[in-house]
Amino acid sequence: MDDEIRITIERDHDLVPARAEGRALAERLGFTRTDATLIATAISEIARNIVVHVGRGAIVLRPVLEDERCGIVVIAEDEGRGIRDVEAALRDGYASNKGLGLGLPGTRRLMDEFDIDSEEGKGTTVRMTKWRLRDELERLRERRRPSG
Amino acid sequence: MPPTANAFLAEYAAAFGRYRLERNETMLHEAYELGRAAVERELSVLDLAVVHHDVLATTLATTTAGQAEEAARAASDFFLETLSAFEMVQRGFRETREAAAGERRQAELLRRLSGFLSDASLAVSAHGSERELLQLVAEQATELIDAEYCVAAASLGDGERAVVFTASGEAGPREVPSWVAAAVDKWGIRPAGMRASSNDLRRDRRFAETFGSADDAPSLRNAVAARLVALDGTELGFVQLFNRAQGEFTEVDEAVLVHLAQMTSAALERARFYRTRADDVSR
Repeated sequence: MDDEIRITIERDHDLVPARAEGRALAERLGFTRTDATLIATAISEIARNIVVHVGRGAIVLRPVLEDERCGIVVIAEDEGRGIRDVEAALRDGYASNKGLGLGLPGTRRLMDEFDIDSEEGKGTTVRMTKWRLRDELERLRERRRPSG
Repeated sequence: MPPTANAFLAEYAAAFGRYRLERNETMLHEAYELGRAAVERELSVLDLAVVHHDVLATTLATTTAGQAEEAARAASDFFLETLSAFEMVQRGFRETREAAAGERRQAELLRRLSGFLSDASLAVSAHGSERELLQLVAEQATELIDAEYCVAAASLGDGERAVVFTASGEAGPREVPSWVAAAVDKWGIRPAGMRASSNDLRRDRRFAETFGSADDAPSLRNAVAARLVALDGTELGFVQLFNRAQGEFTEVDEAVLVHLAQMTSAALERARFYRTRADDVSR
């Protein structure tokens, strides 16, 4: 399972297919309903940032399969003006998130791994991952499944 | 129910009605946006729960027995989406609580360390107390700021320099990897600022020149440093931390380290003063 899914984000309506793909991938990877909802939420928030602050970008979804865990990687990329102060942007109250705990800081808290690579004038890439532990039975089934 | 929640009830009922007709991601997204709006209007999660159950009760009163299960499942999906915005907020509160507890612990550790460093007997003890002092400071710094490695260095006069390394770990102190020494020798402290995040390191030309490939410093993630400075402005040395246990070094971490460096500078000057006096007397 190594398919990458790419969704262009240009307007509010583009958040819907990004959420739908994220939720569907999370369900295929065996995430709970709760975690699938949180993944869709994180995608909403990060894609909304692209629409509001940049105007154009993309969401890329990638499954990751390891022996003891599997995960979904969500990458939000744009070629906008970049974030001048990444540390400040991750603080509640910066820009439009009004200190309510939404936006980038809120998104970071929903995921297990979160990283921002941004340079002024060169755009921003946010990479975040949510993991699910695989139990012994699942790993056994995986090993017994015929390959190809 | 307060007026804000009453208005919200009407919106919630209308949106849920649309979701029951079209069970798709567009409608779930609408549910999420409703939850977001509830957070922005400062409704509580209890308000949201009351709204949801009022809408569900009204819905069930108008459905047939055969449709009740479908209605309940739809309500569950819808409610989950509206609650997810509150989940973000709740996690923020938890993080703030943990940060506050961490700062209280730091303040207590600093108070104790301050008492120890200002103890004159430390300065008057045998030659080599400065090296012991640096070792203590390095160990306390890794504990105070929850970092993996610390390097503390100070000039001892007559061209002599003391450099101590320390590494923390759940199982107790452990060996400091060679790249830490290399980082200090070749890279030193960032002149443009005292904190280097993972993002900064990726862009730092000196980092790339020092370590070449990632194999040379696979574990170097971030750094923070503070200078040791005498009262007359002379630079005595520095304290540098590498790899915060979780996340990046913060402004608070930097402030704590600067405070620790100031106390250490004063203790070093005191030790030097007593050593000089002792040397003069012995002549």
